[in-house]
Amino acid sequence: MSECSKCRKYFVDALYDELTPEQKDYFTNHLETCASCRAEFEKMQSALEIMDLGEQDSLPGEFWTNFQQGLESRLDREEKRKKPNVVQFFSPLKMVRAIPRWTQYLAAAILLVAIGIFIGRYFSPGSYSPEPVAQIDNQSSSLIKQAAVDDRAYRYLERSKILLLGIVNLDPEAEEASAPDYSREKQVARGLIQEAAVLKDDLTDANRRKLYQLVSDLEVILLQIANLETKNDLPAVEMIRSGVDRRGILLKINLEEMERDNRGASSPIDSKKSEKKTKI
Amino acid sequence: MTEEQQFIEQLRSGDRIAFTELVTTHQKQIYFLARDLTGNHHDAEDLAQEVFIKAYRSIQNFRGDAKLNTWLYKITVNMFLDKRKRKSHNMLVFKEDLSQESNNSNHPGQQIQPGNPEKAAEGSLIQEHIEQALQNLSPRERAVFVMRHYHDQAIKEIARGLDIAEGTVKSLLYRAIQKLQQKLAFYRHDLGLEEKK
Repeated sequence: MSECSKCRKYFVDALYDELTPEQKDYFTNHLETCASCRAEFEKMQSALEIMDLGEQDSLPGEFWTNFQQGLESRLDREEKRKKPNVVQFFSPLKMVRAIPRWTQYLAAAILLVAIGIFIGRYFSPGSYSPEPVAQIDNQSSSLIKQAAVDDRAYRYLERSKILLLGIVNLDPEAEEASAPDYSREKQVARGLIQEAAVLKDDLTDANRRKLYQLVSDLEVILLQIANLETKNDLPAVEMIRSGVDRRGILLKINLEEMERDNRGASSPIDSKKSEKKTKI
Repeated sequence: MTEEQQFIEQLRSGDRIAFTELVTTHQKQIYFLARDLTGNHHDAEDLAQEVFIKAYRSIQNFRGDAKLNTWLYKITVNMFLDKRKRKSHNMLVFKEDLSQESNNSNHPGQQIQPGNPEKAAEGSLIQEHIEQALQNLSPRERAVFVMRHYHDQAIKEIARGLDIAEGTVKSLLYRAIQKLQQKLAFYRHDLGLEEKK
């Protein structure tokens, strides 16, 4: 190693005063005799002096307060994120991510094929398998039963609605003058009350609780109608009207009909409407 | 058990008050180191906060054979180098010829304009030139230079912090100072530093 390269090895230590006394002696002696190394060292020294000319601007106390607040909120977020991480260690998503990509594709392909087989087997018209057919038979017979109950219930509601509308829309002044006869309404109401008892037995499952309640409410009103005086019983009619309003009977019937329409089933009203349309 | 060891135990137990104390004691050192490394306030604040979060999370790994501030310095520099590596990798995706480790002393975008000497005497302009000169260094050269020159870390400590040999630290420092000297050569005349010759 030449003297100069040995000396230059000491440059950094010399610049930061980290030379041992022996190294320092050697270094100083060499610089005194070698103009090139001396010039090079001085250039480096002056570069460091220039680097010290920069301004280190001071920051206001407010900055440090904000710094700490920012740090606190980041830490809080970190901790919140950290908690679910413990769960994530066992999370299926993480486990799936750990599986190689090609295995994921293979699994997806197998799943697609399996879905295809399932659809082909159970939903294609030509397929035959005795067990599912038996199940479908059971299911369809119970569905037919339910549909029949629903149909009866909606016919019942429709008839009750017509009766109620007749009572509710009576003009009290005109009625007072003409002394109306309620015998027809009373007869219909009695028929509906008898039907309600049978219908309620069929509306016992949880899905029809609302319908059951509506039929029960209707029963009360129908009883009032059935008990009207045959002629000119305006106070009782007024009571029936307020009962219908208070219980929101007509609104509830309308809602039931709308729900049924939304379910795509054709209510007796719909079938009547569609019949009318075809006639037109 | 020394006071610092007791303090470290408190930190290990997840004591947030102890952690706040750690932040209050070291925030200035870490922020200014981060700013010397990143060269701007925004990145420095972000880096400094990340350093303390990492410290909070990894205090269990702190063996206590170095001082807390040395440990925090180590985290700061390593996080800075990691970030630069990622940033540099992302930039390479778009611009293959951009390499932070290359000797880009004549990069036109980073060429320092000497400008008016009167203006150059202004601290802010000098600071700008210094920052431009520092940007010319590779991340490792910058990290080593900043730690030694501005944060008074001994070569031995820097070597231990970065997990490299002392000789490597010295050569990184040597290269860094030479690059800085080349970039800031015009100041030697302007500031009368040539008279030393």
